[in-house]
Amino acid sequence: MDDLEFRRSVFAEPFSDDERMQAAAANDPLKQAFLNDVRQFDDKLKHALHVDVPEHLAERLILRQTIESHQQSRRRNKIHLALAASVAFAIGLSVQTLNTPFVQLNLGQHSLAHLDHEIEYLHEAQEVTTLEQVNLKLARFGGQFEQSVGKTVFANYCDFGGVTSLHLIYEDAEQNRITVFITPKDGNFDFVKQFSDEQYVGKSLSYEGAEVTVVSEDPQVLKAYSKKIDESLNWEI
Amino acid sequence: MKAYHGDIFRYAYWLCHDHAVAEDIVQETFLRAWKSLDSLIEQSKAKSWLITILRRENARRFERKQFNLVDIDDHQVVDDHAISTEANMEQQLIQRQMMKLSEEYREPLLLQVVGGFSGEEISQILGLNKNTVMTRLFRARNQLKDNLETNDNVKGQYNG
Repeated sequence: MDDLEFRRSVFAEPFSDDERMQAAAANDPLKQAFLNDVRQFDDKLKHALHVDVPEHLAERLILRQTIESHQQSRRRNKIHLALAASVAFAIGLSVQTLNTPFVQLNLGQHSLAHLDHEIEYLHEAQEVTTLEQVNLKLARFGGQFEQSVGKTVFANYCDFGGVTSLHLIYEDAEQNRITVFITPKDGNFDFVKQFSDEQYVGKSLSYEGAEVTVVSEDPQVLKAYSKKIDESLNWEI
Repeated sequence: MKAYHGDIFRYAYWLCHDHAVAEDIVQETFLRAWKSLDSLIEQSKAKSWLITILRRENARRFERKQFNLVDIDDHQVVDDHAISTEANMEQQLIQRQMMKLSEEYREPLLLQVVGGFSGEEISQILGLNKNTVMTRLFRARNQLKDNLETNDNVKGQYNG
């Protein structure tokens, strides 16, 4: 390390632990003297720069942080409150608007609506269907009729509020028509045991895999058919 | 925090050379530091992190308002206590010469002497490469020594 480089590195960092610098100083008394001189100067410099820190500065810093954090938490609380309020408002608004047009129908109400909708067609339906055909369609829901419930005039899948269901129509000896809906359990309808309107009475039976809704105009017929259906249905598939 | 506030304050003081302003800057620095404590990754880097915030805070001070610049020679620097001993005299001279250094030389020197940072750390804080930092440190000491020696001579002449 030549003299100039040595001086430069000493001036740049007198207390450096650079081995080359230390070796150079150890081998040359003049360099050592120079190093000591600069280090001494640095001590003086350090001393001169060591101004007194204002009294209680640390305490003031802590106090200020505490005050600030307090204000901030108050501010944050206000924001939270405002947020909660607007969320509540939005929920209130959407509940209002969503509820009015799409009233959530239960199983019974939907069955009646479905009947009303198809009433013209259903009264004319005359497709005599065998037990096998019905069972084939019913298999989808995991069920089976062990014996025929009665004369089947219609048996087909239909869209029951977005859910594929089996729609059966029976006709008894007095030409009473009995409508049966078999809907899967995961349908969107609230289960209701009994329902009626001016024209129809209905009854829902809940099974493990599906719900069976029976609708008829005559309460007696309804009772008889739901009993028959319940007895002949087998859900063991 | 107590561990750092002394060095941080001294650094601020030698940047702005005013007790009150230095204290303000330090307060702002700690407040900001405390608010963004999450961004401090390593505990060991806390001091250089604080210095970085402090420098930003100091720069902001100049954005906010322009100070009337005064010639350091016209004013008594640092404390106004009576100086009796030679050592105190010398200290005062050094302090005065320190403020005469331009900021680009004063800052690295402060970081090294007051902050105790290595050349590597200083280069990170100031965003300069290490060679530049070392050169500036060299020049800073060189200037400081030169000026002090000239001052001695001038004083000697007066005395003579």
